[in-house]
Amino acid sequence: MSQLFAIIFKYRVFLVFILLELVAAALIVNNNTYQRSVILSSSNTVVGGIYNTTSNIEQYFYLTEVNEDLLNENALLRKQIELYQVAGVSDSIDTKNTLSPLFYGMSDTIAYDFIPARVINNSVYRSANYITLNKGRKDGIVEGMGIMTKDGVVGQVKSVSNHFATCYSLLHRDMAVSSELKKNGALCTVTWNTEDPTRASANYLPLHLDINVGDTITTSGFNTVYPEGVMLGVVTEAEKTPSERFWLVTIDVSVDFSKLHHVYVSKSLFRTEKDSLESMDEQ
Amino acid sequence: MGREIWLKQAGLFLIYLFIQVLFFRNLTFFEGNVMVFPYIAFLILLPFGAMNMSILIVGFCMGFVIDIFYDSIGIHTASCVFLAFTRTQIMKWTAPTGGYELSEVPTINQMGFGAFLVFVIPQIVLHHITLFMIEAGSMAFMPKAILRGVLSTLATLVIVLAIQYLFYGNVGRRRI
Repeated sequence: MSQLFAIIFKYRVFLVFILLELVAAALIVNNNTYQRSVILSSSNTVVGGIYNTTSNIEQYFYLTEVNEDLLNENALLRKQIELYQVAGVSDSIDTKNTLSPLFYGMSDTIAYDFIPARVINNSVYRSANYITLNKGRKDGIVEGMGIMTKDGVVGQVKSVSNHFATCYSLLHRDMAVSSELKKNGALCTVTWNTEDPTRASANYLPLHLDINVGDTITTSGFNTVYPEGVMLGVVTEAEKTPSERFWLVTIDVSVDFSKLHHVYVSKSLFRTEKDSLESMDEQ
Repeated sequence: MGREIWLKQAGLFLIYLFIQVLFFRNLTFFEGNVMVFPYIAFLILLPFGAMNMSILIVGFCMGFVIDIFYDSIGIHTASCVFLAFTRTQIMKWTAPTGGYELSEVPTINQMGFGAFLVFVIPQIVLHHITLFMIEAGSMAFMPKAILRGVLSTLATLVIVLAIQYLFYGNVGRRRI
């Protein structure tokens, strides 16, 4: 017995090394089950606070850029209000194709609310990229909400603290967005290929469809994360391979993730109702 | 004496940590293929006399805190613990005759340029390649991960050498 202890003592450094590596491995493997443990993510009070402070300073350096963006968006929204007013008078305009996604669902009743937030931390070049926002539970953000800009889909909320939110970027190997081909509504799933922050792929588009370079891919609106019709990207490569049952489609991501400053968090007002109804169906 | 060293190392821990997450985190070159992680210099440049066990635990803590800032839970932890473990072995192999002066920290002045590189480069390479390989997550990306590891090693090495010349430059006792 004392020999055993002597051996353990002799190799204690190696044993502690193995133990610590196992702890690290467990953390990596179970990363997703820790979704709610905010303390281990950048949305905890200390880290979020530090990022918020640095981003408060940094934001002055791109004020011009942000202003121009806001101006463009304002112009777009003004145009849409005009269209709405016209549509209100004559009922002849196809509003669905001309309106910004921000307005979708508003025709009958408001289905989505949008919470503006500022990006205080962002990464682009890893295989699992995350975004930290300066809004949290106190501002009405909960896990699973979608994030977008006027250009398109940005990501999805992962974990929330009182004042901050950590989110999956669209550039995350586990992200999959339910989407559709805008011209005919064919369903597909957009995932990131983990190589290039400007490219993603649209999967499961069946071969009988006609797909051309330049086609637009938007969100399907089938889940309650994003409204219908939020831009994802434009097809840059579409390839048929005999061995596959689906098109190999590469899209150019519409959002420039390296210049992400302000975003909207989309809050579905019918999420609980729809999800509980759908889970009833499954039973 | 002992307490002074602990306080100084605790201060250095915080300095390396904050410089990494506030400044070097945002520094990437060549479309993200080259990143810099000079925070590991804290682990590499711990005193020669530091106990193997405490290096492992300090490495774990450093990696863990960095992971929280990077939202990459476990990845930096694993590679820092690996670095802490290999540091002990590398110290054995690179020790000059008569061994290292246990009360000293590794510096260029004290070791000489060549010996310093021999001591530092293998540790940075091992840490970076481990880091990028775990991060890549799939065998398909391994060659790219190794390439990124090697390129980033050069970038980190430049920063580590710059720190040496800036803050440990005088042959005298000038330290930060």
